Amino acid sequence: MQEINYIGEHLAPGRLGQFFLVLAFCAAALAAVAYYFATFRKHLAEEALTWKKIGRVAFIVKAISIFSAIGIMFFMMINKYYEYEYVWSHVADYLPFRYLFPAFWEGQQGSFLLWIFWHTILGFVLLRWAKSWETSTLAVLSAVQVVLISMILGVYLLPEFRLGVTPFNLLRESEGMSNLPIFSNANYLSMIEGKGLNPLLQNYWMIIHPPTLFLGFASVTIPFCFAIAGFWEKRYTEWLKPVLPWALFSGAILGTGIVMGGAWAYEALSFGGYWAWDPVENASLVPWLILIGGIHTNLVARSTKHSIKGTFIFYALSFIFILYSTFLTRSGILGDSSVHAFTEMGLEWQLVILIALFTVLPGILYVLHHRSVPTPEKEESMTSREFWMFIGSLVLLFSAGLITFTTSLPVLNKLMDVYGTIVGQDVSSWHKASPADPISHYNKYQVWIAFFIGMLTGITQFLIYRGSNWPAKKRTFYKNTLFNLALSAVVSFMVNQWIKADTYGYILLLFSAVFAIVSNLQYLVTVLKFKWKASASIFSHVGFGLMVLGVLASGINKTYISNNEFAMRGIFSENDERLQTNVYLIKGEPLYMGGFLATYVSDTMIDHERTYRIKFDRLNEEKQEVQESFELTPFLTYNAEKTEMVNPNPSTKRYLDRDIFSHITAAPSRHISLAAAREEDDSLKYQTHNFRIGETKEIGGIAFNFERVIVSPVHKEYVAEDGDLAYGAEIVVWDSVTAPQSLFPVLAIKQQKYIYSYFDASNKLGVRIRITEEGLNKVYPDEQSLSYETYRQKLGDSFYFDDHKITIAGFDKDPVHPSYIAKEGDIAVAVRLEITTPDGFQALAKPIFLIRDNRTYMIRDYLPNLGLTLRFSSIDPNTEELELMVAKNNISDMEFPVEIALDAPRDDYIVLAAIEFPGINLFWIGTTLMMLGMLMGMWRKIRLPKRI
Amino acid sequence: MRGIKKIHIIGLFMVVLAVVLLLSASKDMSSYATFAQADTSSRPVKVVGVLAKDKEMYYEPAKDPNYFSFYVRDSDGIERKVILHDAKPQDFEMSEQIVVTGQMEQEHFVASDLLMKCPSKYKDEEISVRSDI
Repeated sequence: MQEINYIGEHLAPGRLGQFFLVLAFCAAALAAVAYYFATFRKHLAEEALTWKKIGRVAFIVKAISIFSAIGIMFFMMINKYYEYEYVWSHVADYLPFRYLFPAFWEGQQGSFLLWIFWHTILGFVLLRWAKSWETSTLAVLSAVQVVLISMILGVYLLPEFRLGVTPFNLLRESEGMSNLPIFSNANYLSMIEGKGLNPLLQNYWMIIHPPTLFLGFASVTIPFCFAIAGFWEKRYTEWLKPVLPWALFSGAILGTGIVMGGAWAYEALSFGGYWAWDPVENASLVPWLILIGGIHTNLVARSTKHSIKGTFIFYALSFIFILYSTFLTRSGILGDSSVHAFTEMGLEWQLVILIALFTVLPGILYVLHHRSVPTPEKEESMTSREFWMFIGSLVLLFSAGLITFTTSLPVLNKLMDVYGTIVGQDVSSWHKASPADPISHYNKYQVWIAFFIGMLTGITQFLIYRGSNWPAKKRTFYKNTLFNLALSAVVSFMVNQWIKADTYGYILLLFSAVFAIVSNLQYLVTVLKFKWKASASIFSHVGFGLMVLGVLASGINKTYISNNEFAMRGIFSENDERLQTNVYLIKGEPLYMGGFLATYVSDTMIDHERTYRIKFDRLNEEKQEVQESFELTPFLTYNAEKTEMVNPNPSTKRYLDRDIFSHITAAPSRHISLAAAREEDDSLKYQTHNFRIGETKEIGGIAFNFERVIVSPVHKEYVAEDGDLAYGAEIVVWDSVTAPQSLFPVLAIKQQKYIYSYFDASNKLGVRIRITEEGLNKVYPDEQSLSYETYRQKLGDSFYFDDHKITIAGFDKDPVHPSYIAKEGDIAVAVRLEITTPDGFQALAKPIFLIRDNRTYMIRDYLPNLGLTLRFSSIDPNTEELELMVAKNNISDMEFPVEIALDAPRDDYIVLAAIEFPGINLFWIGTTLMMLGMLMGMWRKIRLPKRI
Repeated sequence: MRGIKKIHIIGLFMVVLAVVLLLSASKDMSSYATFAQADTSSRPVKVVGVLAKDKEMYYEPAKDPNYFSFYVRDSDGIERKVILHDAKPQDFEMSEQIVVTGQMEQEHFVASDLLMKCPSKYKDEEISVRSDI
């Protein structure tokens, strides 16, 4: 095959970027090895120091390489180098700068880079402050880095085996693309445009959510590094202290990332909720739950030396589950069971190896060392704080296990298939599908788990480590606990007046959440005496309680206000709420629903968004008075070409105690996509009727009057361009009850070949009207068919043609005419001819006389409704006489075909879903407090290392 | 050999509980079925199929914005009318594959949930050529 010299490609940045990736990979490997020896050879101070220095240099080289690769990626994306597949896939000309960030991490390679970036930053913190832990933790971190960088390396180890997929791949060399004919064109680059960012992600949440989540992901690695380091260096108890702030940091950030994902789903997607137990959501929740368990065992271990091994296992598991969630979301195994998952990229086996590697490593360490870990002789007593904290951690692990099981169904199915191939049997009938009702499936178990957690956080605060001095403290403990139980019962009863929980499970959960809040506050008051510095756990536990209350309030009382009880009555049973989620709103016609009068006021298209204004008037009980009015503005986002709607975006009215959430579930086809609108139009039964100008016909009980022909037509979808040939008509329609309404269909021929018909419709009458190309020939008569009469007149003169009085009123030196495009050097003059018809109507014609390149041209003016064509054929400079030519075609005798459909659907409606979420702010406040508590704890552990 | 601690008993209890719960949870799991199997099933099932594009698709929001019906052809080639009590999902016609969760009620399959697999506009192997060239 012949080599092609492609024009305009920038190959240097890609090669440089690829170089940096390979360098980063090698440097990470070197750092891992050097730090390994620096740890392994610690007893040889000098050698260890040398290894450590090598490790540091390698780590810094790796860091610089990663930053450079990221910088080059951004450079390529800013400059829109579409020769690179990644740039082409995620960027487009129209994409504003701020969306380059989500475009960067939309794809697998970009998000891996983001993850590696955070690892590097965290690595620097270890390098600078971890002191004696630097070598061992960074050895582990560098090893993790090696494997992660390998995912984006894109280097062929064997001809058939490629390690990772590089972001610096050229489009013309990418799989499935390289054979496309466009790449045989050396100048292909000037012809292509990027695909751009998925519109669902063109949202500010997508600028902040992924970096937070990936910082969370990256930070889970650090407790894992410490756990490995602690066992490896046989410093079984020492690591428990430095790891704690890291674990708290990780818990706070990962938690925030997860909640931000919920906020994104709630604000930008039309799920109608913040949590859907989607496999991808679960995949990041599971490591977080285990990590929180780990933080608690860590606290226990640090105070009592119990559960050191437990802490090791918890931290290792939370990291393993981060890798497992990476596998679930990136291997394509979730397929269509999740909306979030990435598409396959051929990394499945590499991901499996990643998990296997970092499961085996801690596994071996544990087996080798677990007997050497110091364990207190005395068993935890049932009356000690550590006992119940450990139980709490186990409950969290238990919860994580249950969630993982259901989330992993696709993996289990796959494993069954593997077994099936081994025994040579078709096992596809064993396959299980995700629950028919996932939300109730998960809630059923998690309600009890949350109940236990709530109770434990309330009780355990009042217990003391090692249960020391229990006989003396017993009384106070029982007193406090009983007091809190009693107080919680009262408070729960009051709160439930609002939440109205009605099943045992929900009532108990409500009680336990209230108990968690009450007990922790009481602990803050009576034991801590408002020592804020020591109250980090109070924040987190009260936050947990509030979050549960928010979940209960918004979950149990989520109500669709978009149900019109009148429309539904008699069709469905009254309690079947599922059936009544959407209402049909016609523009300008108020509809009563769920306490509101809702009116679809208008819709406006700006850029790529069509915003609907929907007015809500809250009515009082008697539906007499309006108590409150507000507007919601859900909108539809369109693709770059504006030919298709891509995403309906919700709009929310916020109150302190609830939200009113609305989104559009269906809209007329012309708001959805051009193709659908065309298809719908094609499916209508149009019939052709011929009209003379001014004629009225009655068709199917509706009167149609062909009022006039329009030569410079206006239509909301028609954009007039130079060279268009277009006409329009005004047709008045009415029936016995509907007042006359003018419709303005338009027909245009663009670039002399493309015919566009723009219909107009009356929604009230269900009528849609089009005009045809045939009429165009009548509106613009052929020159040959016209017989002109010639007149020679001067300025100011009048003459008669066919009873029309024509006066030469003046000249126009800069003439404007639909079929005249001015050119440099033109001499063009239009004459203004005032015409009075026999009936006394006035009209104006402006034919043009043009000299271009020493040749003369005439541009005729045509008045279709009069049937007159006027030409300005010459001017005599001596006599100042103009030569004018006038012709008439008998348009009044002509018939214009009009296509009329009487079965047209309305195009001025929307289908709306509106949901009320009471107490949703408790959820946001609760989760925020939870994360804040962890950050406070972290801060305190860093600042006050000496005290507890 | 160290003695058995309370914590071990509790741990064991949790493991047993987890197994019991998972066994009972597996009742929640639906299974994949064909329409023929759905006819006899008393529990909700998931049917994987394709949209029968030659059959009627009905959504008239003016009459009922919460009623959408269409026909699905399952892997055995059996077609059934499916009713979804919700608005018609966008891009429905474009779906390559449909997974409906629900039960047969008389002649129709009433879906409580619907999942479509669409050829994504953002993943296809096509290169859009600039329109201004």
